[in-house]
Amino acid sequence: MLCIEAKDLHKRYGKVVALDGLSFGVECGEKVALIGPNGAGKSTTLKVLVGLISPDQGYAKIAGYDPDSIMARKVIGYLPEDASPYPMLTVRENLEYIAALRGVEDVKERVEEMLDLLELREVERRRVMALSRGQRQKVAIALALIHRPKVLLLDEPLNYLDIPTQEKVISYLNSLKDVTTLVATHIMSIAVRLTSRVLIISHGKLIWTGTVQELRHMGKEDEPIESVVARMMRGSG
Amino acid sequence: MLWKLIKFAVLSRISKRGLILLTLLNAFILLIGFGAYFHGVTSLQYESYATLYVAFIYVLLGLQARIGILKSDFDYYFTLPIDRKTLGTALIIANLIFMSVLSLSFVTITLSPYGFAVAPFLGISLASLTLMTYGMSLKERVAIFGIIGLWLSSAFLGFPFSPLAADTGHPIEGLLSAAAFAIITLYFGVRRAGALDVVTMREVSRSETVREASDTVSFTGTSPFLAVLRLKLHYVGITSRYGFMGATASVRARAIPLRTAMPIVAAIGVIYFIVLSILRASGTESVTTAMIMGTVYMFTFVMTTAGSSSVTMERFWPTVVSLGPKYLKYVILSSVIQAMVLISPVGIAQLTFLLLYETSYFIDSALVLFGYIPLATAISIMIFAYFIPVQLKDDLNVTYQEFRPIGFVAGMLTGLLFMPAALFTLIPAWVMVVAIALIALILAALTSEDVLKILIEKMTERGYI
Repeated sequence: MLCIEAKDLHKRYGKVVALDGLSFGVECGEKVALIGPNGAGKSTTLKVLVGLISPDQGYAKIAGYDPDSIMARKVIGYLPEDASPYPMLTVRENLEYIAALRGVEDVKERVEEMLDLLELREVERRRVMALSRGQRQKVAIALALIHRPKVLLLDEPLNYLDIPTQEKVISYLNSLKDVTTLVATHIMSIAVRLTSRVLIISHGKLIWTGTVQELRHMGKEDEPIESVVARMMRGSG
Repeated sequence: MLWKLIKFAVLSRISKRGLILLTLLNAFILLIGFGAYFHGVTSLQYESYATLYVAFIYVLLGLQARIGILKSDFDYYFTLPIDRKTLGTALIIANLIFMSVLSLSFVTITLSPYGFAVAPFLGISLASLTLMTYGMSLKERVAIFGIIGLWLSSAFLGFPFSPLAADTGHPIEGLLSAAAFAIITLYFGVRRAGALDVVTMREVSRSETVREASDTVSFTGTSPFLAVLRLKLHYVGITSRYGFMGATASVRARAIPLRTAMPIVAAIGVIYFIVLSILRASGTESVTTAMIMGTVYMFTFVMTTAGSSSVTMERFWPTVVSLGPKYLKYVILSSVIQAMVLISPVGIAQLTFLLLYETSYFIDSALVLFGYIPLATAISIMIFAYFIPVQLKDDLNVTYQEFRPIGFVAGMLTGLLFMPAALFTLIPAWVMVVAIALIALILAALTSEDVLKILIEKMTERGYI
């Protein structure tokens, strides 16, 4: 069963074509990377999938529901690129506020869990505006996970994180076996660590999909996987 | 070099079309001013009160219209290998251009030959003062502009050495005072402008001493709507969009607990009541003028706190994605409630005064306070969100920063939307009831799920997440 489905998505911003007939599907529980060069349409795809923007043509489904339906919103956990939590609220206030909006039943316990998981305990009473960019990213990740989502849509999730935190987040995300995950990134090593299948898009179109292993086999001996992807992207232009 | 810098400072804050619109607006204001004057109109306001209006608007603008400092100014402008005084001079001239509409509005208020002569001096001093006071605390700025306001108003009482005294029978002293005021403030303004980066860096929160928040709020055990309301009734985001009246915005994060704000607005309410009671002895005209000013204060306050600021700090990615468009409805409703709580002391003061002494205006005033202003505030939030959807990412780092004509027109329209509130003494109660019913219907249509989705999509497309 598909937990994420995009069918013939088209989206224009004025004269700029962001999505040009993009179609793909992600099986429930699968972890997939959405890869593409800058401006390929990765962030727009995620915004369509979470219902922040609607496509000009085509449709998207999350767990079989329209992205802006209540059912879909309940299961989605979303982390946009350069996510910024509420700057005037403290870390704890941010977590409690979003948990309250999400209708999380065990708010206190869940907040404590997130503070520990992302090592935010030390800064829980600090306002987000006073945090470093890396600490803000940790809060943003916690906000995306606080309601135990079934479908995770993450845009460059490891940006700004220090190496120990990166490892911790990778390990946690990989431990979420039943959670369907779509990670938009342009860093191949992140895709390899977090996912088993890759969707490569360019100019708003899907140009290739397959497993990481298949991608490796497409390269020459000892050729870095990034070089293979770069060749494919150039070829699509 | 100075010319190049001015061009850079102006065009990095305003589009070419915006600049054309600004020029046209200035020409239009001047045309109205000259046209009215040569047709024998001496003042659009009660003649003798024109100086008070100018003083009031000057202070209001001085507190609100601040120069826009962009994040890119830190990255590129202030790092240019150019003398700081030159950098500062270019900024102050750019600021003056942006504030030209405001400066010229003084002309239309006084509509006298002296008014035309004094307006540029007032404009220069206002632009310079916004730079001089940049980085000061709200208390300091209120104190400075309060003293200046009293000095400007002193012309009304016959003091000759006030910049506005030219309009009250002291042309030479008045013009000299205005010129001297402009020159002195310009000198200090230029000096200050050259160090704006240092001042701002000292101000921005990240460079402040890291400290734990002492006054926090808990959201456990609340429904989604109550969580939004609790947030709005705990923190007040005050003018996080500085300088929007000056055609370019510099967005800064500033939120104060409501419990800190309430004693201040309560004191304003008490002072307002005392002023009304004192003015009662001088006749109805004085009281009406003061009540118009009071109402202008109230809607300017709600426009700047709720209207232009309530979505600046919002985040859609964890909120709209969880609750859908109704989250925006909650924000609008909560922001209106917050704004009403903040203006309630002045509103109560006005209503109490009317109930005791001027009952004929009581119903009109109550309709404005409890009907027109809250509804207009809700609509203004939506207008600002749709046409100028500025979102603060970090201090000074905002999306959709550039000033565009459509945003400026939207700002002007929002001002016009509130105008009937200021004119409540002239509008019959039944007209006000019709106006309230009309904007209630408009608001109902605007807050339908479909329209909210359009709004969310528009904001998202402009980089709002």
